[in-house]
Amino acid sequence: MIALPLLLALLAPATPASGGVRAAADAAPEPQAASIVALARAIAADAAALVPPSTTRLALEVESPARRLATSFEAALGVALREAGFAPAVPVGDAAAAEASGADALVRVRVDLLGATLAAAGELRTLRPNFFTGEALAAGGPLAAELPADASARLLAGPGAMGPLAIEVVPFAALAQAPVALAVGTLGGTPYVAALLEDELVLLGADGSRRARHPLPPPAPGALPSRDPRAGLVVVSDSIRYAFPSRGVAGAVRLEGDALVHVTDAPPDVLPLVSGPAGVLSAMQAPQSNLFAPTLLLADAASGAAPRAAATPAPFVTALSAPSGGALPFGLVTGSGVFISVQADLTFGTAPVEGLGDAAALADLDGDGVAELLASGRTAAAPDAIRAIRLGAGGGSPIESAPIDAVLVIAASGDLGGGDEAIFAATDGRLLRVRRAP
Amino acid sequence: MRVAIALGLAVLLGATPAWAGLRPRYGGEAAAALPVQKPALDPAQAATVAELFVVSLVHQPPLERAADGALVPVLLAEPPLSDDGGRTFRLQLREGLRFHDGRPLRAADLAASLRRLDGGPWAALTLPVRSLDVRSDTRLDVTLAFPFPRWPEALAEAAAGVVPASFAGTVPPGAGPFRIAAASGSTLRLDAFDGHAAGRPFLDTLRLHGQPDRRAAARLVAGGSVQLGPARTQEARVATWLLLAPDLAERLEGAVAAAIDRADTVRYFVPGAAAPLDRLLPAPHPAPRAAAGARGRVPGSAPLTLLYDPAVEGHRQVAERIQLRLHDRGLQVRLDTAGAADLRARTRGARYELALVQLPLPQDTGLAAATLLHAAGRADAARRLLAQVGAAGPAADAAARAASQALGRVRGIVPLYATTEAIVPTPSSGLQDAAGDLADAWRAPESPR
Repeated sequence: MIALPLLLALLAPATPASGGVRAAADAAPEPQAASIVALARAIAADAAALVPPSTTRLALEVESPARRLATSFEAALGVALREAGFAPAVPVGDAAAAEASGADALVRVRVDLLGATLAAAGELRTLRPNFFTGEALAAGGPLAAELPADASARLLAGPGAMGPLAIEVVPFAALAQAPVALAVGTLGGTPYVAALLEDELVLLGADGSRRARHPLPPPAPGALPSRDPRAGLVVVSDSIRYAFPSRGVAGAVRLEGDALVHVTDAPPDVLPLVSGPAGVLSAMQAPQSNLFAPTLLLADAASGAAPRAAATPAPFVTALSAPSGGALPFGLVTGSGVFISVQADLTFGTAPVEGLGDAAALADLDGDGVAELLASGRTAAAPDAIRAIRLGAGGGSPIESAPIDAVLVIAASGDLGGGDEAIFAATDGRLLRVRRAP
Repeated sequence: MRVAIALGLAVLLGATPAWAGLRPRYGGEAAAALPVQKPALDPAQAATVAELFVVSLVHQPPLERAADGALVPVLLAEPPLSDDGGRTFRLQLREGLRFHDGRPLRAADLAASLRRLDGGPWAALTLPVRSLDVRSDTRLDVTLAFPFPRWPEALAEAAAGVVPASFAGTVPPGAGPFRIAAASGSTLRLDAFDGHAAGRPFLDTLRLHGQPDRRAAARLVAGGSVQLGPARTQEARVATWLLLAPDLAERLEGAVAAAIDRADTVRYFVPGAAAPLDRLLPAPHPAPRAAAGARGRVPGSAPLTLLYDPAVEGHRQVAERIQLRLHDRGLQVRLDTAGAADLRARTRGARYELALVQLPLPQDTGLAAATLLHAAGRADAARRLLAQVGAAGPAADAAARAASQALGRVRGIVPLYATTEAIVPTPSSGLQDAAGDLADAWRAPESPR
């Protein structure tokens, strides 16, 4: 049985959305729904909108970096095309083989797992003209669809299929000073990077350009300054929440037009550290230090219910969140550089990963559903390097970036439009973008 | 409850050193060896390298200098403001400041601390001040006798550390990054002050081990039991001069200057790190003038008295060397000793013939020149110099040029040597960011192996 949201998606007009990619399902699919099948049906619906199914014989060419994903999707698309009214499609290896097969048109699609998204894109191309008129049977056109990947899609596109992981570190932006907190998230559906500086909140676009700023309120009387100020910053529910204990200020702002507008004040001693599909993780600062006290709060940003609390195994210096959730939604890095995994039910697992620097983030770069751990090194002097460590089944050797002439002490991760990636901040104010190398 | 999740790989990154990415860590201890047993703890009296080191830990001046020399407000809420070109300054203290003993730090304490400088080695810092007007608990208005836009530089000197307007005993409570937690014999234990205006320092504790001399301090450093000790640096914060009484200066300055061999004096008679001072101030400033007949003998002179403070390390040897060198040129010199306060009073009152003085140097050139003139009993000349420097405007270069020109006209001050020493971390100390303010120093944690 097909779930209602998926059914609605399949019944929707097969016109590509702007940018040539449309969502195959407006709502999250049911867990048991096969995302490969749903994606194949969406592509088949696109094809049926371009050429008449009953009179068009199709050849089918599917490619993917993941061989098993390509095979499965090809089979699913063959079935979906038949369901859409096409005659059985002929699988071919290339356009020449398609023409030789006698088909009228070629459906050529590339399917891939991009972060947590299963995407297919390609074209329907007519191969021969009408015998009598000499005109093309139809104009053909683009084919594109995407939807959240389920476990079976991730399994088929797993690390073995995706090949070795490689990361690239590219400049993203330069701030006047090192941020005290960093967050990535969407406001009104558009991805942004938010950076909290000593006296202002800065909002950067996905291209690193400065979009808005919001001066912080003056320090509260009696606030105890810090030599290494820590702050909390998350982008959640279309607002930016921050807490800056050593300045004694906290609150939330919203983006209205080109301006960040103050929404509300908040208690400055509870720091929202990271947000993800499972909620917002918060903590308080350990007194007179730059570590966080070993009590973690997890709140559902949407429900407004009281947060759940749990004691962490140790004080920690960094909290991490996988932007796409997945099997490893949260993590912590302790003051001694040890990684602790945090599940959505606030249970903790110690991983045999240690020697981590304080700048760390989780990002599912290879799209296998388990975020990779990206972390800086562990001494106080430049150069630094970022390491990507696969935490999922299969593992693999850690990947290390080229040396970076900076000290990286803060990081955040999110989807800036091309899947999970991370932003690392250097003490000189530079922001670096870390993503999977093409 | 803990739940172990399936993780694919054990990765040990700690085995690879030299990668950056750590925030400073709070906690830990460090120890320092001092080349003196009991340094003075009063900021207004601090005059040696060791005293300036200790005072900078325990006491807090209103401003600090950043690495680029810019003044940074610490006790003040904002940089000193002047609406009239540097004639008056409004000092606005931050709210909620406290001394180590818990009592509030108010504008009246700041005013009293500035008044306490008068009579001490740093008296020139307040030489331009005409009045101090406490307007509220957090506001002090300072009026100068003449415009001196760079006067706030004085507020960044360790000597301007604020102490309570009244206190019992001889050691005033401070508001610096470390508080005196215990004193045992010649060892001081300083603990981090949670309420410091710039934030608690990273280290929990500093132990200062006073030593009878610098050889004992060097032994402690070499033994690895301390992380900081005396070492040669590029910067000179203290220097030594030979002063000639104004009425003798015209006649004897050239001969005295010619008699002194600075290089040999430094090499053979001055303990610790020092450099010959062939200028009136360590920075490029006018060389001492060579008077006519400087190489000749000085016949017929009556014996002169050379005053020195025997408590200043090396001054007895240097005084004897000067006595010998002048004797070779026919000038009879008798040595006499005086305590620091007595020597200061006699030189400032021009009640001396020759005096060997060691002075701490403010970092601002104008204030340093004024310190030197004031110590030599030329307070009026010091005020005139400051007025000329003030008229040159707020730019450091212009002020330094004006000070240099004014100083070049002064007779009777013979530069000897600059003490190029500081209490600094040893190469193996393991302290991070300890090159500047020790309150910013921290210990990197051991990486798990």
